[in-house]
Amino acid sequence: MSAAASPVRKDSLALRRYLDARMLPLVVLLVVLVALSAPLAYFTLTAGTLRTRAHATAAQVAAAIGREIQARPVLWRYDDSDLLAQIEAHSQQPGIARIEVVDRTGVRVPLPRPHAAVADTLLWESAPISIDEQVVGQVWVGAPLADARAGALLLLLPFGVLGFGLAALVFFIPGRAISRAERRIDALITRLEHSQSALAELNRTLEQQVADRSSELRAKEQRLRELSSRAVLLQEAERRVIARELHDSAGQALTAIRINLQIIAQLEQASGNERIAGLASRTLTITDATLEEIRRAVSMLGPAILDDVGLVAAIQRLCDDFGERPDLRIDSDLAELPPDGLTAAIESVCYRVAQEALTNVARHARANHVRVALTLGPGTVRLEIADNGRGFDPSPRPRGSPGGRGLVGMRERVELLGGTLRIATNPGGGTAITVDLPQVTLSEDGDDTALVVA
Amino acid sequence: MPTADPDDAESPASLAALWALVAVLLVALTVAAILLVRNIVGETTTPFTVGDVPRDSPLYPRSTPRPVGVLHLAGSGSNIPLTRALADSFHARHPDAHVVVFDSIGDAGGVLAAYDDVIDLGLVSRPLTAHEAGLGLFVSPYARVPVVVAVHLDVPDQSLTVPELVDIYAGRKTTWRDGTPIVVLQRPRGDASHLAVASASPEFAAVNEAAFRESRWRVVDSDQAMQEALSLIPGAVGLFDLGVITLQRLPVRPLAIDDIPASEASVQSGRYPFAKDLAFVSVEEPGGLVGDLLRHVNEGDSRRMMRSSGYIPLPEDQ
Repeated sequence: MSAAASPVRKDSLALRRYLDARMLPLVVLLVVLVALSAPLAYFTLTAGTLRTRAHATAAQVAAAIGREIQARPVLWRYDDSDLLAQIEAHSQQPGIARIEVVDRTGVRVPLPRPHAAVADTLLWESAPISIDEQVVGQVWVGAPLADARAGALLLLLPFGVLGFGLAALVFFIPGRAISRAERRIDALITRLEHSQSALAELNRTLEQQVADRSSELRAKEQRLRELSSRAVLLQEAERRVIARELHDSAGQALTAIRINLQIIAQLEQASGNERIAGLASRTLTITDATLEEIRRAVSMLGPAILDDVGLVAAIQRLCDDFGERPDLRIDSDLAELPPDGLTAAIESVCYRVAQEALTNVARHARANHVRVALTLGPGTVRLEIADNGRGFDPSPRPRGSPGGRGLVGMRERVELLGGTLRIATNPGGGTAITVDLPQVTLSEDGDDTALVVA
Repeated sequence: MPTADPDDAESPASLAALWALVAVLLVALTVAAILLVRNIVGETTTPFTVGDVPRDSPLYPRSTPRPVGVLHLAGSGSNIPLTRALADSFHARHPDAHVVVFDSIGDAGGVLAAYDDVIDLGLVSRPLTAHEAGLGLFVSPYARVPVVVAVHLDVPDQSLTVPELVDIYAGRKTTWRDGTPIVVLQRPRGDASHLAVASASPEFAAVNEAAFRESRWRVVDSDQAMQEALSLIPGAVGLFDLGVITLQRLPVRPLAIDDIPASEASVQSGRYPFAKDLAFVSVEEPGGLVGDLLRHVNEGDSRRMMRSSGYIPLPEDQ
């Protein structure tokens, strides 16, 4: 990917800049090392060679003069022709700029010869002039450093260029590689960001879909709950209608039949018609049984008391009935219902929950005090039954274990109407059952029965 | 997105540390290089004393005390034959006195040995240089000797002109009259005979110096070597002094210059151009045995002996 195709990101990794900043001092060090090492080595080696050569020359001249001194122990230093001959014999060697003879006091022996002006620094080496192990003078040989210095300076240019070239390679090759890698990383990061954006978009879409599905599900659930509630309401209303019909029609008819049969039996027995009187009596018995069955069916279909006295009076009557036990005191706090009352289903559920709860108290709780409260909230109805009995373990019981059917039935009835049932209990701490029911109706005027009949 | 560098917050510090490390390395390398070069090069100042040692310096090389009645003389080889003859005559007259004339140590050597008080008298055959004159030495001229162009006996030529002499030393004249190759002999720089000719002929001075620079001719180091070369090498030519040739009866022949032979008369008249003065130099005013010797040299017998040997006694007769 070219740089043009992939412009440098504003928030790039800046690897090239990071590498350049750290390579620069190393490159400077490399340039200096390469540029100076060879000239320095050349100068050092050449100077060492000059020193060695100068020392060897000094030793040779000192030996020659020493032989001369054997013949002229005092005047040797004044015989300039002999000294000059010895010196001239060696001064033509390459790398030798000056040869001087010094007496034992360190004073140069003057020799009649023209001295080439040596502007350069000389590297001096000496050798002693010895006679019988006694030093009588020294030969100093001066080697010029100019050639060594010029050679070193001459090497400085190519090795400086070499140093810069190597430094450029060391600097730019990794730099180009890191730039290329950086562009690739940037491209990968860009692709990753694009992928992340796409993933985020997908996630948002999925979340939206899930939210939509959830909303739809909740709506369906709500609809289902409403339908269930309506079904329960319809069922309860229908049951109430059926019960009323049974009570009002069949019950009244059978009662009339019973009265007639009773009259027939009395009349036939008085007339001595035992056979008809017996038949009437048996029919009367069947009628009584049928009436009983009808009353039981009416009771099962819907508490008739609700139709007779209403929810508040029915619950109060339950409280009164259970409160007749000498060891149990029941306090009731029942709110006044609105004039049009509650729906039959809500009244039925409230009544049956109260009935079941008080039955449980009487059977199992061993309580001596029960409080029953019915309150109305905005759109809700709350029924609370709390005792101070022994309570129980509220943890779910294993499937198939006996007992608990009453609580399960209460909860199912409540939840079918869209309400909630909460049980607060613990062993020894009493039991409090709270039922909250929404005030739903099938018809706008709240007369479900009429709706069903219609 | 932030930079991927995990050390980004530490980057300035780490970069500064890297620069500091490189700077320390460069400084260390520089110091090491300087130490290495200084160790290799060593001391570059002149490692000895240059110049004359003052007489009150502990370095003044005065010789050990010499025995009474002994004179030590050394210096130019041109002076030695005449001086030894004079020493012999002095010893004949003063049997208790001994005069030792050492072999040649050159004019400069004679002057410096006298200045250093290593010898009693130095022998010089050239004027003192300005530097030597500044040493405060006492100069006692005692003879003048013609400088001659001496040749091997086989050389047929009898005379040269000064331009011919210049051509010979310039390498332009390479054969003698009979076609024999000329073998030019030179003495080292500072030789009194060459200086005497050079002072009379600037052209000769130039070609002589050029010949030195180019190492054109064979350079003989001493009078003895010159005597030997002139005697044995056919076609050889060199500058020599007439006194030594006469006194030692050397087998060489002096050439006339412009057909004028070297003699006391031609030198004194100025017709013969080349001559040099022989002198004694002493660090103190001559006295004692040295004074006796100088007086002996100036006596009539000594002057006659010098004249008979081709020398011109100094001071000249009035």
